[in-house]
Amino acid sequence: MPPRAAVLGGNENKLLEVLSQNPEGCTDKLLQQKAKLEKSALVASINKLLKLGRLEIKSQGSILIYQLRDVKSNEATKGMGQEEKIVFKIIEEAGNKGIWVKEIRTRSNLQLTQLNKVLKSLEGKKSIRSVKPVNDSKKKIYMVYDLKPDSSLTGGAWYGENDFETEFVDILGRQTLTFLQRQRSHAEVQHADPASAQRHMMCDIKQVKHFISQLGISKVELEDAEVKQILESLVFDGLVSRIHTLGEGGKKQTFYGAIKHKPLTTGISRVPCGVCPIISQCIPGGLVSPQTCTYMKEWLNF
Amino acid sequence: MTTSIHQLVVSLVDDLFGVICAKAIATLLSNKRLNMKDIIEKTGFDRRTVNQCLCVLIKHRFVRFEGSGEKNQPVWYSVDIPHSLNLPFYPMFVNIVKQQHGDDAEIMLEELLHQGSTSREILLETCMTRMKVSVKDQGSVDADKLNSVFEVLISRSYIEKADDLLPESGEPPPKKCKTTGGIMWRVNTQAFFNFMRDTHIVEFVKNRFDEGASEVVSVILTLNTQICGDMSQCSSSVTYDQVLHGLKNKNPDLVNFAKSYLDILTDSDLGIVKLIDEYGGGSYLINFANFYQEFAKHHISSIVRERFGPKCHRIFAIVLARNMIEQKQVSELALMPYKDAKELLYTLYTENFLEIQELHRTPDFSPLRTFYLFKVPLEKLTLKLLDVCYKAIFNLMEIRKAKLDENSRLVDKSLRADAAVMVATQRGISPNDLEDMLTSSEKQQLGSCMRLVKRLDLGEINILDSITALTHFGTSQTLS
Repeated sequence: MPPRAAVLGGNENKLLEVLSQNPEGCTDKLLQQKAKLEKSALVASINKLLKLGRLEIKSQGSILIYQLRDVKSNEATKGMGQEEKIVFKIIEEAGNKGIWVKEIRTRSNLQLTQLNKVLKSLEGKKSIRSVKPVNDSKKKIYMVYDLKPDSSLTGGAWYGENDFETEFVDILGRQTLTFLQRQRSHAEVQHADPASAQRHMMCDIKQVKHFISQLGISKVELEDAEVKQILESLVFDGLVSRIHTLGEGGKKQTFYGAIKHKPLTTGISRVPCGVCPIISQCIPGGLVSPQTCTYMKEWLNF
Repeated sequence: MTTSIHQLVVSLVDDLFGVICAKAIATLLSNKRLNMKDIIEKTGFDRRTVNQCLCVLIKHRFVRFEGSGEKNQPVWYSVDIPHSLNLPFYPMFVNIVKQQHGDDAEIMLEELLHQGSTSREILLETCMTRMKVSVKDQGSVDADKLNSVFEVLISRSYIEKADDLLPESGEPPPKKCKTTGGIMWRVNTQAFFNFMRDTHIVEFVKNRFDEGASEVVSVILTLNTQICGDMSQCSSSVTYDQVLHGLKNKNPDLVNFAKSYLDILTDSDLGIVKLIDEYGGGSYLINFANFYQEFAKHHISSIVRERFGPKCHRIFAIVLARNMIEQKQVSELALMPYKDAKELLYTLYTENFLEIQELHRTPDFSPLRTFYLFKVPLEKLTLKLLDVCYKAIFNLMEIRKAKLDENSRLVDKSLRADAAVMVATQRGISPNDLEDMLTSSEKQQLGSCMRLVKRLDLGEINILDSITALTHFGTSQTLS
């Protein structure tokens, strides 16, 4: 025979209504005031709702507040033991960034063997799953089963099957640079005035994103942040310049344009001594000396 | 002062003045300052020799002296390192003057650099003697022309009075310093460095923007009315009208676009051209301090790129741009695999191109609760790379000496052959009638040796560019 569903009285329903209107939670006093209940009735209703798992108690400093509990999360923890509920709640709170085993252990105060058992059981029930972050493949991060992991764990569009797709990123970078250089040459030909030419050659992220999507190289649609990463990498390589302006409504806008000349090799880097890894050991007549230096011989005979 | 600088200065003096002066300066370099008695004792030379050495070295500003002004008090001698390190720049100075004012000015500056400091009369006399030797028709050397060249060099501040040559009291001046007319003249190296600075600014702007922008900057620099030797961090300000007027004379096609170029230059994040006020179209100036910083960063980035590769250069550029940044943030911005970014970051740290700043969150200094921030120690890195530059120049000089020593017989033979051709030409004999003193294989060997020497000279010029960039940045940091 299936168990009877819990019947909620008028007081409990009042409390639930007040709590649903205050999703951030209510203190004792506020509940009593809004639900207009006697203290004893209030206490009894709260206890009943706690037993049914319809509300939860949280502390804000020294004050206790009551918050309505999500029915879905109730369903998710249905059939779980107390320890499993605690661990699941900790993992749920971590959201799509996930949480490390050591941290779960610290927060739940469970022993390692016990915790491992709980995690195995939850994984078996498909309530949680483990994800290996790209930054540190030795770590195991746990998160709720249905959640999509954050890009900081998966690496975003640049990672495929946990490997960084260097070639893909390089091609995108080269194509973006070619696009910006083309914009520059067009602008210089069509506009004699340099300020006007600069306005027309500088592109924003949307224009570059549109160009990349037209190329058809990327299997997935790139986010604005990912296109920005490509452009910023070109800025750091000294190939592209960046200008910030104020757009509509005073919003900051960033534009990127190709620099006319590639950065040249300068000064001492043209001489072997400037780039020698063992220059500090070089003395005339020593084991490493200018007269016997192989780098110098190659450079002089080039 | 580092070992590299010590070695370089001794080598330069040895090249120019010989072993005795080299030993004297090596002794002075090993001690902060010495008096005459100490120098005689430590070098083992007699008083007359030491006197002569010091006279020569003081004339060429390798050594400076200070007297207390009281009777029977000794005069202290010490090495003037900044001026000593100017010696490799002398060929560049001569070239600058030759390009601007012709061959006569070139000869005059060469003579003045040879003599260190001298009076006007002696300088003009030496120049005339030298020019008479090279000119076929004796007596066609114009003394008035030489005088006017001298005046021009003074007006350009390339030559200055040597007021500090004689001590107020103490030892009498060495006899070789003739003070005819009481005024001694010497080369003003600061004027040449200012000229080179201006050339570098124009070149930098040309590479970063375009030729039009570099012309505008060139006009602003030409209008700079600052006194040479003034260590100000900015040029004098020029108005928009003055820039227009300057451009009309230099490149009239750019007059219509002057405002646009000025706007582009002032809006740029380089901060080299600054708009200081809006009256009358605007007043602009060149911020030398910002230029020195950008120029030094440009040179250092080039070294990183050539030594460690383009990916490492990107990591370095990220840390340089963000100043204090965590390892995790670097790897996110670098757009490369996390492990590669980490490896390259720590390679730069091991080679002292980066430093770590610890920021403790808790008073127990626990590593788990500490932020480790990477930064580029620009001033320390500049000093380190300057040291490498001086060592590189010393190495190139050593290799040049070794190559010339190896082929000394051939070089001497070639010089004798050239002298014979010159004498024959003066006597009216055609050089083709003379027997060839060098065989074809000797000529080939000599050609190969000279090609190597030329390459070493070119290498030295490249290093001097880096030294200029890094020294200027170091000086501007000291002044700010």
